Amino acid sequence: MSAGREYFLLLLLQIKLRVRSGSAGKPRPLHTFAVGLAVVYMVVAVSFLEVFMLGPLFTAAKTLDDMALQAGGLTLANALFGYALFLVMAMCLVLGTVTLLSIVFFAKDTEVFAAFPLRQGNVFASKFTICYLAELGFSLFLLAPAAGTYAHYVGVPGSFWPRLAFAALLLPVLPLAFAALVALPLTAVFGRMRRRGLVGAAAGMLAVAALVAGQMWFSASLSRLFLGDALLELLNGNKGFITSSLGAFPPLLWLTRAVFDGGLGALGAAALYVAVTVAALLCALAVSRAGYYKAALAHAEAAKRRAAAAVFLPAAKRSVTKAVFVKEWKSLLRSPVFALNSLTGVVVFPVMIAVSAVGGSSYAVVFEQLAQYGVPEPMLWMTLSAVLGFVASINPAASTVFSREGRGLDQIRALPLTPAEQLRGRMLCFHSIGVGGVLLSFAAMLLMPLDKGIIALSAFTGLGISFAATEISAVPDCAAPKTRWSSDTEAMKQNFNSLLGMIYAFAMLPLLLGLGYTVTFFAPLELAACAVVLLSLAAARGARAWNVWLTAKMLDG
Amino acid sequence: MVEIKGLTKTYAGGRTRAVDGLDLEVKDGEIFGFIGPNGAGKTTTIKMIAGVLRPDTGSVRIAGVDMSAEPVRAKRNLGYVPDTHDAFDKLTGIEYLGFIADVYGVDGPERKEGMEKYLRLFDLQSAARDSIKSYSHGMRQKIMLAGALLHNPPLWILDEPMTGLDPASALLLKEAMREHCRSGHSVFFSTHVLDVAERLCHRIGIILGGKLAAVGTLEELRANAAADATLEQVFFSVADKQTEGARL
Repeated sequence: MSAGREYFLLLLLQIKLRVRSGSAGKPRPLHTFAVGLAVVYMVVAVSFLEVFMLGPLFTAAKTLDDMALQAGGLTLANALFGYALFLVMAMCLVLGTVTLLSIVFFAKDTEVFAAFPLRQGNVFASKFTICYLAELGFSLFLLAPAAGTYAHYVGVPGSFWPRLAFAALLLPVLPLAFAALVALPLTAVFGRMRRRGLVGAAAGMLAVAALVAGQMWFSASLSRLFLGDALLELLNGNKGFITSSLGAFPPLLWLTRAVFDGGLGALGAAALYVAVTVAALLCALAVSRAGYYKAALAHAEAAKRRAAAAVFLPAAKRSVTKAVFVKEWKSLLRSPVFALNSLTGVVVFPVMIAVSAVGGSSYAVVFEQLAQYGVPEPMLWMTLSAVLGFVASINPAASTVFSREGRGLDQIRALPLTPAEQLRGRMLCFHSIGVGGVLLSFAAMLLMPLDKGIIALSAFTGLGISFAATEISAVPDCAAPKTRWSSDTEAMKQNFNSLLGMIYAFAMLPLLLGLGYTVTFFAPLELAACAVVLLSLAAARGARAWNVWLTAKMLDG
Repeated sequence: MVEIKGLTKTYAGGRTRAVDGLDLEVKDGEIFGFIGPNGAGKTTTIKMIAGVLRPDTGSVRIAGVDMSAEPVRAKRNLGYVPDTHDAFDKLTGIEYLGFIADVYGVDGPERKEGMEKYLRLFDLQSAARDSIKSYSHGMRQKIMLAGALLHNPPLWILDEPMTGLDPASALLLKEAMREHCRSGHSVFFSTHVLDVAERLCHRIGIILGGKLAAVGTLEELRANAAADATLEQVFFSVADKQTEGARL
């Protein structure tokens, strides 16, 4: 069979495997409807957010561009759109790395493929294409509203759209190829370690935190470039700073030029971008042809058996809750995908808050101004509580509580545990994640030049919200877990229950804080915070009762 | 030990009858073999006995406890090994046994002794601290068996327990099953290996198309075929009669 035909056969198989992974038990019309509604909600919410945030920025940039003395070359509005392309690229790198690890390097089917007379480069390429398609969909989901907003506020020629389509198609390739090139040798090395899951998860989280911190510094330096002296330069007709700011990452400058420049300049920039993308892709494919199986199957090799005498038997009996709690934590930490998705929020948000709070960032300037001019305390409390509530609401561990058991759910059903016992230890694990995120974010918030008392009160409120958000996130999965999956990514990141759980938690957030804010009109702030916490705990209790009922129905077969 | 009455389970909105009005009893101290072709309803029946699936109609009683009415109490009386072992693959062998011991409340010297006994019995001591994910199929089968036997339940329910076991482990398991029954407990297991059923079981049930086609000791079943017939010949004789009956 030719290499090309083999690749397409494998790709078709990969697509079928992904499309046909389903949920346990009978399909529930209400669940399907809720998933559809969640998708529509996300599209509308992201589009609205982008229009709301980018619209004024593009308008301001266009006004300044119109005032500039020199015509031609990249404009400030072009640079802003280029920066949006960079953000999408960074998101593709973060999310694409997780997808790659799960689908390409830690998937259960790789061992099966390795037994067939297939070229390992083709197996890698077909899986890589699946990752590409997933990230392409994600980048289009983010880019389309931004492009629409740009076209509306700045105005674009007809050639903009085909050029943008070209950019969008190529956008995920470079970050994915880069991620693959890094992951191939690292997986081969770390794959043989006993604690490889934990090491992979820790390394992944550090990488994500470093990336977020780097992105924020990049954003801050770009912001500074667009303010003060830079504006003066623009008005004087000196546009060099636009090129130099985008040129900090040359492929970004080439891509922006390919979209906006005229004539040969655009062609040259497009050629450069294509060349670097193709080179990265070819490098990844060449490395995979030589060592994909070595990297991807390293973790499947049995660890070296040790002497029988080294076996340590757990001594004392634990309570059922503690046993389930410990089992849940171990299961989360031993899968890089589970750990990365569950704990990234806990690590990344505090890093983001800390980086934005320390001097030198553009956000720090805003905080300093807020501190200087004073903000109404209820408003500050509500905003900080909302941030902490947001951190607690992103908890995919809770929203995939039973999905992660996969086909082994039958063994869970056979255990002599009541639905309440099945849930208690698991939820305790997820609450510890939510509470950890809130406490770390609170510690980072203390770096902000804001009233420490208000920050502490917000942390108290955030903790209350965390309990409600975690319980509510678990509702979709207690009702209908997705147990047919072949990779950990499908169980968590590509599981609609994750999205649904997050939406449920997000929907509750404004309700709770809105009520709390209303209380501040006729009661002290401390009382409002207590009211929100009490309401949150009541919501958590109600959601737990609902989850127990749903679990009982679901486990009943 | 097990009383099954009028057990029925349908799939595809009632169009497919996986198990159809099954009546069965497994006595104390008995090894009961459950045989039948692929898709006959063996695993569905076993899952209903283990409380994994809820029957559409009928009842299952384990040691006198109704599975539908008191599932937790009923499940405490059994140790179940499914035909697939996908759960708990992120735990190590010893962590899995610790978890099972906690869930079933195995404490004191029984806990340590039980773990040591079954790890030794199935030759898993050197792999006990490795992730179950890294185990071979046979090793997974053995660790699941160890988990099911750890709390010494009066009833073992084993779905295809010999699959993947090496000859030495299969022999050990068969001996463990006999030992379990000598102490008045029972074993209910399904198998495709008719030789194993013939040599090991006190009674055998043959399921065809979701219905119990024949049940009894090997001697009783032979009444359907020749006096010196093997279980294989008995099985095909029952299957032929069932087919003829359906045709008429």
